[in-house]
Amino acid sequence: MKKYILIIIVFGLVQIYSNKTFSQTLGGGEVHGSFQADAQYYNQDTTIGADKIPEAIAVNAFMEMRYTNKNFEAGMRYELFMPQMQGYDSRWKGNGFGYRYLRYKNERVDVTAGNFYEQFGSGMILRSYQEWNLGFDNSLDGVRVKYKMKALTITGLVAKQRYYWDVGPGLIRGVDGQLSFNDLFDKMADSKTRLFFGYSFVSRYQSDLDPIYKLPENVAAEAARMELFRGRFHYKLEVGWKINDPNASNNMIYKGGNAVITELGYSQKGFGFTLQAERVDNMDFRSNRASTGFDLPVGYIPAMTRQHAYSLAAMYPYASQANSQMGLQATLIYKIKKKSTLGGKYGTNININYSIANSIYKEKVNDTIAIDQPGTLGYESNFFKVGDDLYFTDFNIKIQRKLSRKWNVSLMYMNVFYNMFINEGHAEPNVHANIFIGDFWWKFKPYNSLHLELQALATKQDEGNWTSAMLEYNNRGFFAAVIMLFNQGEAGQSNSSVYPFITTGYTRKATRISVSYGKQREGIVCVGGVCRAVPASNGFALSINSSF
Amino acid sequence: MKNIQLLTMLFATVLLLSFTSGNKSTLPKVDVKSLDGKIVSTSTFQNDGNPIIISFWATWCKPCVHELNTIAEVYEDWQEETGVKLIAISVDNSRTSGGVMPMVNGKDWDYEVYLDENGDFKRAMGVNVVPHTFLVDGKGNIVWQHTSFTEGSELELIEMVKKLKNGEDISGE
Repeated sequence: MKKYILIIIVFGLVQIYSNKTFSQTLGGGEVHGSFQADAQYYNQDTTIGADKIPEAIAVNAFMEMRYTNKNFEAGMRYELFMPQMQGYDSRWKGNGFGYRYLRYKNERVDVTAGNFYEQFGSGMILRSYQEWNLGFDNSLDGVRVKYKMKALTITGLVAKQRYYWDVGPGLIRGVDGQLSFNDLFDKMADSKTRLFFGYSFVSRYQSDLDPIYKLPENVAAEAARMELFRGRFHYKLEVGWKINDPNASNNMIYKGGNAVITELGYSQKGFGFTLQAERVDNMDFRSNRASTGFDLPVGYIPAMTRQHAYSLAAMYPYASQANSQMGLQATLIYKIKKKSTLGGKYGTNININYSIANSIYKEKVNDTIAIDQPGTLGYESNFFKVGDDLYFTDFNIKIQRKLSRKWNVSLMYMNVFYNMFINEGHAEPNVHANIFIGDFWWKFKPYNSLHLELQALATKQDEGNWTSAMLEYNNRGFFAAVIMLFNQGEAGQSNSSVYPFITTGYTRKATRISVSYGKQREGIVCVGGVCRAVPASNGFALSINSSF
Repeated sequence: MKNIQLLTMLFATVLLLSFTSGNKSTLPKVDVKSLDGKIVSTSTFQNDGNPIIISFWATWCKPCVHELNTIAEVYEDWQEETGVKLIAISVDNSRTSGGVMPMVNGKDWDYEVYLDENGDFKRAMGVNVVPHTFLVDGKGNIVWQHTSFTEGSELELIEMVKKLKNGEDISGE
């Protein structure tokens, strides 16, 4: 730790006393990076999963730097969890350089050694990414080579996956090709129809030390995709397979996996529509077959549902089920023209979204084997048959209108069904909830505004009704907000609770500092002009964020 | 483990040296995807020597959508006055990126929009939170940046564009 502080001080001093003439003799190059630190002092509170800790204060922080010079690039990220904030996995505890790489890149070749993030197609069989505020990072640590030709880009990689402060046991080998059909033929170059094909192959090696089962040590997964754009339409299709891969998430069954994701879209000025569908059957793919939860995913199966940014709308979010899910989502966006009777002076935006997720259909392989019985083929499935369990539905409509130069209003209604066992793993009544949101902006001076956000969630299940009110004041970079969240408690019980929260801060250029005090649920908070995922907390917090 | 330490020290040295290279900041060359699927290098971003605004956003980010909506109302005026162009970079991942094109068209935004699904451009620009807005001069240098959007942020942004257009140094503002 002392060493680290010393390095930062030296960095700072050098930057202050930097001498431009000296630098030019070194051949230039640039340094960029970013920094974030969150510190939280905890009050006594057993109700939200964020109680006092022995250290009193928890700190999560990182500093990332990249050096680029012509075709060369190098970067690293120092990370610190001393200790990790409540709500983050305890395996994060510690500090060190969790990410470092060297990279050479020219017009054709791109070589990376060290940590990197990569995604093949939609990420169905390979996606590594980072979400700092959610405590997620499955970066690959190895070598990646990309080779670009006119119509074809090929990516090859071999790596292990980051696992907190270690790497996972599985070895990942992958290759991907992306072909632009239009660039193959000169005649097609300016065509209004654009067609793309892609294919990827990923293999995981993990030795078999299992005392009971004989497990495949090399597990192969493949995916093929196409994208078509023509005028106002676009169509996407991605299909993937995986060989049998008995693992902790599928109850050690020997069935192979497959997945299909497809999307049809139409849009023109003032109107947009998308229809998406997916079917996923036994596709949980990780670099350790013993892992579950958020550990070591290689493939990424997206939840085909809207990602909400209002805290009560985001209270019951769908958790994507990589082993069994059939989903459908439709989104319609429409702008009623400005200066029309319905649209008003500035026009009115309407956004309607519906999504549904179900289990896939499963039947016994034969009379003697139960569904999902370990060491067997597990089950048989009919591709087009929908399973019995409803996992999630979400219907929401949002209307936003600028009333005048000073007033802006958004109204939203949402109806959600949430399968408790599937999404949270414990058998409580499934939740049916109605959510109402009113969002009002009053810009009373060019740089001064007040923002009032009112939310209500009505349900008879789980923790019962919720209401929330936020009042926010903004003046140039300065913001201050008060949030009052109220829970009425389960029906018939008198266990209501209040979550008062105040926050204030200042943003200048790409640096933002904020302090807050109060009680907060885990979720998403949009205040002071940014949205952030936040863990549950009760107490005093300080947050700094900067890019340079 | 020793290797990592060695690499780290080596790298720290390079960093120290490069810190002396002044405040130069050029737009990194990274591939992004256009809404009709084409791979486009950020090195091809240009606007006939006029300023470019690069705005990182996501479909689920309320302040981002608010920012792009607000600018959309005055965008024609901005273009006439300063010749500025706005390039919107969506950081939506494959879960939400399907909603980008319908939103851009549905809201009638007249911007150049690209997808950064794998986050390559986002990382190269040091973007941690969205919205994050950059101002690039006619020569491809990043001269100003700002995170968050609240009412009035757009006024500050166009002020900077105008100063840049007039040849003023805005790196200190």
